[in-house]
Amino acid sequence: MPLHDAHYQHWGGAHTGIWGRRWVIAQNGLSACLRSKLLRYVVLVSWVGGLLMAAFLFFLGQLLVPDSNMTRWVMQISPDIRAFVRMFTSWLQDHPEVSVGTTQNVLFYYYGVYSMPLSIIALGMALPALITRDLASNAILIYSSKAVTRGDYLLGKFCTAFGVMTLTWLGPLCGAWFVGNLLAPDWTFFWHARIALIHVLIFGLSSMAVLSLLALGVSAVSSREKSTPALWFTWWVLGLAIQPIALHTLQWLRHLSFGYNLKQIALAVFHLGRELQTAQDSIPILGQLLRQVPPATRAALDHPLLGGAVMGLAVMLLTAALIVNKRVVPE
Amino acid sequence: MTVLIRAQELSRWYGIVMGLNNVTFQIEPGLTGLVGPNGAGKSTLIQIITGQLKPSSGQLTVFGLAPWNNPPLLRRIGYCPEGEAVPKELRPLEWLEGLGLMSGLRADEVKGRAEAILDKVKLPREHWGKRLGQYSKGMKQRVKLGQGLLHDPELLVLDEPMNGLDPMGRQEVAQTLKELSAGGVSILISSHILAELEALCNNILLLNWGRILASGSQKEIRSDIKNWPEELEIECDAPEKLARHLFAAGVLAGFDLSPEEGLLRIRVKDAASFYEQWTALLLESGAMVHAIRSRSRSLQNIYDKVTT
Repeated sequence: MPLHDAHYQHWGGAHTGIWGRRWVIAQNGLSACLRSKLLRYVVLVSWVGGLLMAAFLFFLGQLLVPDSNMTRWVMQISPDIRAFVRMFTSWLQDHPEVSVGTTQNVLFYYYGVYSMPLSIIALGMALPALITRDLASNAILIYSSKAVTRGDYLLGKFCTAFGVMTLTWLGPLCGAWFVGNLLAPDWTFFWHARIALIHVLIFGLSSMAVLSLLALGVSAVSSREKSTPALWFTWWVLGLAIQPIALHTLQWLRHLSFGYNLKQIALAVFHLGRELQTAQDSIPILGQLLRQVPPATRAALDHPLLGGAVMGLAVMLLTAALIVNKRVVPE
Repeated sequence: MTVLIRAQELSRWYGIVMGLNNVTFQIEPGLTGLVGPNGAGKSTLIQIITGQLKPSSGQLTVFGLAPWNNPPLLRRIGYCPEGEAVPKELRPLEWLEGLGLMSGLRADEVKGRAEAILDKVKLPREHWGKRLGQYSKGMKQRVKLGQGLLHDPELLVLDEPMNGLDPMGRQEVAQTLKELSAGGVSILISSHILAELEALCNNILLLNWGRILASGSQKEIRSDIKNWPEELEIECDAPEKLARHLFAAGVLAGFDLSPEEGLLRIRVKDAASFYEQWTALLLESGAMVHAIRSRSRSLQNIYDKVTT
């Protein structure tokens, strides 16, 4: 048998670039997050939500076509409904910008805002895999001695959090938009619904960036795996609880809630007040419904507290940055 | 001789606490031991060398480059920290593969490299399927050493690598380090087990209170210390007889006898003159000498001398 060289073997391969190494940090972080069965369920539920949204868009799209199976089936229900649907579909065909564009914009606002909690839950579950575990195991010492800077490490972890939110929020949102319009009766749906997609992307990407940075800060607060998710969920729930109380006392307290601040940004990005006004002016039946909305609610939709929200989020982000700067250092 | 690490008026302080205090030294390629008590500044120095800390003043270069915020240089350096620094939820191969990719190894080569390294640090294959949290301290130590070697560094910095290893393990690690050194890898090793460093290292760097007390080869350091008492331990059949003879010759500053062990410990007045006369003195004494050991040449002795 030939003798093998058992001495230390030098490695002679080529090295990958810095972006590849950053990607590895993000990818490993995401793999670590997805080891949690519970988080995989949350991802699944998010995508089921996206599919339901796509199905709903398909249903709406079919109503815009007078001779579609869906329209025919709905018209069979009763003569009154048949008359209403005929009037409605002919009107919708005349105003596709409103019937498709405004409707999808409003729908995606509500879907975006009300599916965000699921993503916040997913992010809470992912917190230990961001920075907490590296602090707990002290492996951060080893990572910081590798061929990456602290900035590269944090960028990788940021991408991990961003990835978790893409899987549970932006992915289903964009997926629903794409599939919903793909199944629409006309290719022009993509065009008419473009504004809704742009709003989804602006709101989704900015919110994900903010939440990911906040998550990094919370993840770096402690090296105990149970403490950081507990802190995250406590902050979120307290923020929700404080809103009705703060409304009648110190209104600025509402800005301590990142959820509230992001909702204000969503209102501003989707121009919800303006879109509802357009719908009220253009769609007779909606006009009657929307006139019943209390003036205070309409005012809140028309004039989101953008300044306070941006200020509140800026303070939170600054705090998160300070925590990360203080904690993510070798001992 | 080329210089591997060069520090010039290097200081690092933490608030009002000095970690390193205006030190200047250079380390040449090879095996170098870093010696000092707790709080001497060893970890601070290691962290500056491995690019984890920025010097407060002065400069330090490794391969002629500053390590701080310098990933291309860090790729040439391997680091094995002192404490437990392994993620308990991962298996060794998973962790090493991730670290290999992070260090720039290619995805299609990293698995083979990680396996070869785990074999190199002699982590038994039957334990590769376990999570690192289930490992003993010694096994974690091997994995830590493995990650330091994974990307084939030119300089390996080891902080107390023998901690947690049994005597056999220490011997194996020492053998691995010698092989690495023979293969062209320079090694800076900090350890409180001075006897092991002594056997392993060509050069030493002695630190205390953030200052460099001595640097260079043990011989150079000894020659630099004035009034260095040469201490010898002589194992012979007639220690009393030999002691009497040497004392009468006037070469001793003092001695200790252990007749039951057959040992004579002597402190000589003038080392150079003593060694000139030594052979003749020995023959004249008529004692049968079995072994001679220089106690003053031990690293512990040097360490005690310069830190007190």
